[in-house]
Amino acid sequence: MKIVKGAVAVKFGKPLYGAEALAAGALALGKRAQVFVGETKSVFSVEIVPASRLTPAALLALGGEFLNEALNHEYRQRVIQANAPLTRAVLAPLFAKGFPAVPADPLEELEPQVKADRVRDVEELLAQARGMK
Amino acid sequence: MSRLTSFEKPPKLRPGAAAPHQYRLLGKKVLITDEHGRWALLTPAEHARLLAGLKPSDPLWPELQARGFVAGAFDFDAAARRQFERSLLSWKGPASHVLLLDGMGLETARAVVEFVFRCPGPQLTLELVFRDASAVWAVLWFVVQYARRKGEWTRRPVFLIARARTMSPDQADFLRSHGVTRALTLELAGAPVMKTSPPFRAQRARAVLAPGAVEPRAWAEWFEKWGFESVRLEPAALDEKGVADFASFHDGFLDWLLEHGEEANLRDEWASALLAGRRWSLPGMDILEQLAYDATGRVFASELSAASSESCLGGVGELRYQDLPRREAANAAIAASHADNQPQCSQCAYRPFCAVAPSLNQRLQSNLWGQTPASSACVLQMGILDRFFSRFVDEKWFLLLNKWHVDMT
Repeated sequence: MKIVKGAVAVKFGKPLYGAEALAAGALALGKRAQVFVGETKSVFSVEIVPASRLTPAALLALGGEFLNEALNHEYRQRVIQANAPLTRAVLAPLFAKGFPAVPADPLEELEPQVKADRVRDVEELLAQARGMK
Repeated sequence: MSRLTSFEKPPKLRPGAAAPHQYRLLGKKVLITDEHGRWALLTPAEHARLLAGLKPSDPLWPELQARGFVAGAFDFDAAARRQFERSLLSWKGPASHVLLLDGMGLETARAVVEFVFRCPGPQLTLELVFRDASAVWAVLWFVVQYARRKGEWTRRPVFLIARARTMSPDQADFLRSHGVTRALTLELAGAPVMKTSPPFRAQRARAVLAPGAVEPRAWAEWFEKWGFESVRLEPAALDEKGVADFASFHDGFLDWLLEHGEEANLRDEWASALLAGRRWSLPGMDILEQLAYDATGRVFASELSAASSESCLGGVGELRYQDLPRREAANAAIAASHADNQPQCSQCAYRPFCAVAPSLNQRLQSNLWGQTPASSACVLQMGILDRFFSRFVDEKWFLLLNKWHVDMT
């Protein structure tokens, strides 16, 4: 990691780091910096330009944050891949059918009067509450 | 930097001897836990014996076999049952709903309560959060009445909690007569004045440690004196100093509870929240345990994320509960909740007890996944759990937890 003209320059070796890791690093910095990426066959060259002027220490911290997130992202992908059979078994059914809403009350469906009484009851509560203001 | 611990000289491992577990060095002991929170506190020599392969004649064998740590005698049926019961495979829906009442109108309150009751699950908890009951009285009164009626109509138990900074005795009486638990939010500054009463009579307290809060034992005595049943201490800030101050205060608070456990009614809410309350073996509350609703009726993944528009799942007017999994924010929060998807968390001994929610990561590190090595929330909760587990050498701690309905046997 080098400081060049108020920005941070970092090289990331391929294939250890992928473009997604760099995107994750950029996301972690948010609006605090702009991130520019160049690429050769074996290396990504990243330039991190802070949104405002920073001290050298703050620039290094910014670059460190980017590196942390990029590494964290790469490692997380490996952990996710390794545990995929387990997490897929639990999460897939949840996303597919895990959020069924409560069905309509059969009593209200069968007895329209019950539903009407309840609606009136709630309206009375609301009227009473409005009177408290 | 890692929050995990490691052996200076790793013990020898015989493949197939010990069942999968995570470990953590706690002083001179080794804490081992399994995925669902079964645990044992061993000496390094005992842990080494487990890894090398316990013989049935070993005095440790009955205990560790019963807790599922001996691979050769692993009860697969029980493990499958446990996996079903304690994982999302048997999830029924978020049980806790936090309504932020300050500034909420009556029609919005009505729509929010109706949304809450469209969520399935055998029981519902509505936590009503506001500063001053007088400022929201009409809405508070209506929500209590309407939620009680909806509970009767849908034949579901409904638990109501009112968390506030102030309310009058009449308002507190109304809430008590309608079975609403009162929780006081307050800042602890300096030392308590014993004869100064709290703003209202409450059963629970959420106590934020202001910088300079001292005498945790005296504060525990103050809470006990004024009839509180439980306290959840919170750090003033999740930075290095805030976490360090919290750790020493919480330690003193726990010491008082341990000394006075037999006669006192007070309990530490962290113990029940982390040790007994982790129903799904997943960190935090986001969506799976909790939804939050702001004054305009927007739905959020949790109370913590209620200020962040990125975490907004929609408004109660147009959002259907069954559409939640199609919301990107919901997908991301749920995926990030799974410890198996996280470096470090996947190896952490405390993963079954963890409550560091993605929304907390988002707030602290601008990232749902969080950077666990640098997370102060992780430091805070691992510290709390270290204090809990290192006390398990004391029989009084077991008895106290039993009294608090936390079964750790």
